[in-house]
Amino acid sequence: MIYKNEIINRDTKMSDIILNNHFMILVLERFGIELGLHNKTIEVVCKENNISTKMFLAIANLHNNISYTPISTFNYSEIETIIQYLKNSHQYYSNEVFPEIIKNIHFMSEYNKNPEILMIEDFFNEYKKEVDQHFDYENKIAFPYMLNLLEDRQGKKNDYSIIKYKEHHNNIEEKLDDLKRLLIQHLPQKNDRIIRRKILFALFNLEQDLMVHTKIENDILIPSIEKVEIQKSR
Amino acid sequence: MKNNYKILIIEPSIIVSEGISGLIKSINIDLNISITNSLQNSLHLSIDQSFDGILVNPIIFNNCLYALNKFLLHFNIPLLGLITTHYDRSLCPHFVDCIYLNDNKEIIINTITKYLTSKNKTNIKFDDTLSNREKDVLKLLVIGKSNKEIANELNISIHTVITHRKNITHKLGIKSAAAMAIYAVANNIIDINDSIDLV
Repeated sequence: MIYKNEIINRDTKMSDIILNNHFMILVLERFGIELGLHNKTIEVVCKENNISTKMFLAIANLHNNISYTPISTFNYSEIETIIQYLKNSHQYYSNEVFPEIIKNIHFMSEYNKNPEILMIEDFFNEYKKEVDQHFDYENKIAFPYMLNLLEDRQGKKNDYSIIKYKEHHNNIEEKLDDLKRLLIQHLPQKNDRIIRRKILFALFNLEQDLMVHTKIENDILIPSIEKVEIQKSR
Repeated sequence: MKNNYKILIIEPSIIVSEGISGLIKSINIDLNISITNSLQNSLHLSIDQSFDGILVNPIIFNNCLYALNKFLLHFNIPLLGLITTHYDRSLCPHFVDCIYLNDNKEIIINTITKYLTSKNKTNIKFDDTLSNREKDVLKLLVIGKSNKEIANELNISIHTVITHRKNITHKLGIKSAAAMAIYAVANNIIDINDSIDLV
């Protein structure tokens, strides 16, 4: 067994990292790794699934310990894997997490008739819209640019650059934190104990996941693409 | 000067801790002294009481800056160092002041008195009720008024508006105007119909 925050290495059992931190189920899913892991090590499972072990370890360690600093020299196919990983995460948020939270917030307003609860629904819808727009931008503009760059289809002719992506990269966690605080500190509870708890659990999970998501973009993806841009412009 | 200061001494040597405790008691202030010889015990003591001052020997942290920082975070008040042997200089700036084993009585008493009565205590304020002025600012803020409009309407400077906004965020822990509107409705500061456009 490994302990939380301990650094995961290639010889760690894949099943242990999940037993130690159930969040890893999502990480495996986004890499396309299926459960039924037996006692195989990370290296073996990665090879079987045709995934770079180095890449997997960087992301798994970030999920285990947000202050982990991954090495950032990845080859082109590894960078493509990261982009796919981020896309898969977007799908998970937009198709599963947000609708579930919205459903529960709506449900809450049936129990708690205070006027501010209706406002919470609008607040979260607005938040979802902002985040979806952000994801849409990444999926349709930033990621295709990066993939093209890696495949060298356009060389460096495209006038888009990672700098624009950096500028576009705003903080999407602030409103989430506001919502948590409203539910925890400021809005009186009224017949909504169970549903409010469910919403809060979902918000905490989402927040933690998004924190790592942002860190993968800032600490792995952006520096990697910057290196590629320099190489290609030579 | 307030009365009944609660002081915690964390010192492995009983000779030193009893000695310093005796000296402190000779100061003419109303005090309550707790003594412990380990870090673990000090954390236990802190569970059900808070202290106005802590005297701690850096030996307790094995001269380790990381441990000292965690300790500071936990107690959140300035510390007075109690130096009885060789110690790591890099820890020094983390104490507001230090008492050394060979200091004389006068110096020790002066140092402790200065430490206890100094105003730079960083105790966090837990008060989250808004002042009337802050409520006025909040009301205008959540119906979408700009800092300048708020300043004009309340007849205060923009600078003051910004300060109020900072204090509101600090007290409520909320940053976005939309979330503040929800707070304002929940606390009857505004009517829901006034805020509907913003959220």
